Amino acid sequence: MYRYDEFDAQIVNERVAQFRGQVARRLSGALKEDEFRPLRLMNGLYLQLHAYMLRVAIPYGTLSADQMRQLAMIAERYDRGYGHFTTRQNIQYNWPKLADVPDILQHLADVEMHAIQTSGNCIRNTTSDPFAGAAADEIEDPRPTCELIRQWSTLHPEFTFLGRKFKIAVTGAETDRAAIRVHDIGIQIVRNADGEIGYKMFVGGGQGRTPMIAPVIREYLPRRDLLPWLEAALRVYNLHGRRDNKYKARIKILVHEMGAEAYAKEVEEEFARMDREVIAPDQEELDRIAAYFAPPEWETLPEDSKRLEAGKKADPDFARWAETNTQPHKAPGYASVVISLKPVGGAPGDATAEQMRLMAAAADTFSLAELRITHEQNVVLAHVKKDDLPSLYNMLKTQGLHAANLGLVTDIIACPGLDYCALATARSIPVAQAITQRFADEDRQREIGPLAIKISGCINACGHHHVGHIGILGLDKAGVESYQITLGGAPGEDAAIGARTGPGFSFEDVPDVIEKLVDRYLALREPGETFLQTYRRAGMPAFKEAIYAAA
Amino acid sequence: MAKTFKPVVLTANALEGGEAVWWTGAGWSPRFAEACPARSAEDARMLETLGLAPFFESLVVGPYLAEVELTEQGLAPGSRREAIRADAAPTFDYLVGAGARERAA
Repeated sequence: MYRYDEFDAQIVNERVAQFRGQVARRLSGALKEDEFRPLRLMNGLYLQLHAYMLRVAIPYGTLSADQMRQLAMIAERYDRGYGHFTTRQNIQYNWPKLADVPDILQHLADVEMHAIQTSGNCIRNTTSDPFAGAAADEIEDPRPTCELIRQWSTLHPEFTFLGRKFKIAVTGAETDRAAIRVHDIGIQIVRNADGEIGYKMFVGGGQGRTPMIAPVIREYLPRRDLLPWLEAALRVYNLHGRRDNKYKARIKILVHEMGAEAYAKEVEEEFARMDREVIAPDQEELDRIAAYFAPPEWETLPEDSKRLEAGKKADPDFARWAETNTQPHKAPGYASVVISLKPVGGAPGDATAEQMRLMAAAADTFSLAELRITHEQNVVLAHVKKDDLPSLYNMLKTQGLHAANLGLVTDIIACPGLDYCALATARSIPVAQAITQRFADEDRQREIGPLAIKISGCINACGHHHVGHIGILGLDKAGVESYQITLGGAPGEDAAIGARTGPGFSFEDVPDVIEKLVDRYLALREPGETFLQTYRRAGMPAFKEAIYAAA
Repeated sequence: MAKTFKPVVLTANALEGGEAVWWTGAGWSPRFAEACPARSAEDARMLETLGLAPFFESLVVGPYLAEVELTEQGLAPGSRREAIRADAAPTFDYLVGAGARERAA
């Protein structure tokens, strides 16, 4: 993985020193909150309902075992012993004290991490496929592209004060595991007719109060043109994007109002006009970055593992986990493992310091000392030998990290919601907990099959409810929590925004409603059909009737 | 029609720790029960003005008035959000890790 050069290290260390001074001046009263607030937000520090919240960047979701151990140390020493992994592949600490934050940032800088650009109207952490570099179906590891974007976008003077926040996601495979079509810019690595690798550019997607699927703005962009083209795309947004109304300030509104064609035309004109050579990295730099992500020497292994098969026969629980929580790997005899942070009754995405340390140790022992955070709030060990899966499973079990539910009804995305968040209008996590308890039976989960429930505690949609097969949006109706249900959303290459079923439901009723929807699906489905396929075939009325018909 | 007045308390977050605090009439307290409610619109205006006093800048962040209910048992928060703030914790058992409870204490 990428290691800081002297410029990265200098930027991050100087920022810590700068913020230390700003915090001291705030605590002494020399800085007022109005002056301090933009400064703390530039360093990922929010003020929530009960405490400050520090959001730490995990670039494209990849971190080393040592970095994970440092996150655990911070959770223990400065927080309440846990952290929350987010849909942006980051981690949030919920209880830091203001005076401690400079020290926390220094501990992060010591392991090449930071919280820069995890808030504010700037280009945020670039997100990616959690199976990057391992996925059997990828054209190319997307992380060198992500890293290039990270370097270009860090403290970029032209894009530090955009009209609104800006999120970029990159996938290296046709199967989109990075939800690129619901990002401000989505980048798909593709090959052209000559077999050359370049990019397909989607611009103007997003969730929030106005969800949109990004249209394709450039079918094929040669690799070397990426940064100049991004610069042109951002410049047109910066010039024409609305700053008078924060609810209409995202690039999706601009692309929608201008029309994709007109927006594309302006980007291409700017691209043609600009001095591209100044911005485009030379091959040497691209090679330097790519070298950090060079695939390791895979051991020559048979595709099938006798130890894995023996382990499955001996332990049905392990067999279930191995089938559910692994993904195909490009090297024979290897698999990518997803560690579920969604135990029944748990808070989605939360991990204790002890669990973080165990995952770091597992990465050291079984997966080249490296981990990934997924936008679905789980953790990936990308390169595990199939022979090692039984040992890994037994290790994960010691800290309750063995939930066999990847992609199933209990693998729920949920934002922190009203239990923590100052913007939230309703609780999210307790809703997720109640649903997982309702569907705790593992056999039933498997019978239901792939089903993505995503819960947001407000219209900002941090819990991705718009792209949930079943989406749940918590609102406040005259002081009472009310939950809207959407159906048919999808985040991938078949991206769709879910459609509302109708009037909302009370907090207490949500598990019943979800159960009725699932029961209706089971009654309607044809052999082999998933929930989403059945919904797309049978349509809304069949499901609507299940939850609104008089009892 | 004019909105019916509801009693309010002055609340904010403490600058250093970020915890929710309430104005007691004599200072800021992390205990909701110690809040001093304004029972009239005029008192509420005074409380609001007090919250904006420059000398509070170095103690608290984002002061605002929050509606409360006056019950026989004492003050009760006027909304789910304020109830969660008053409890100083999420509504679920979030301290799941070994030792987490001791650290939070």
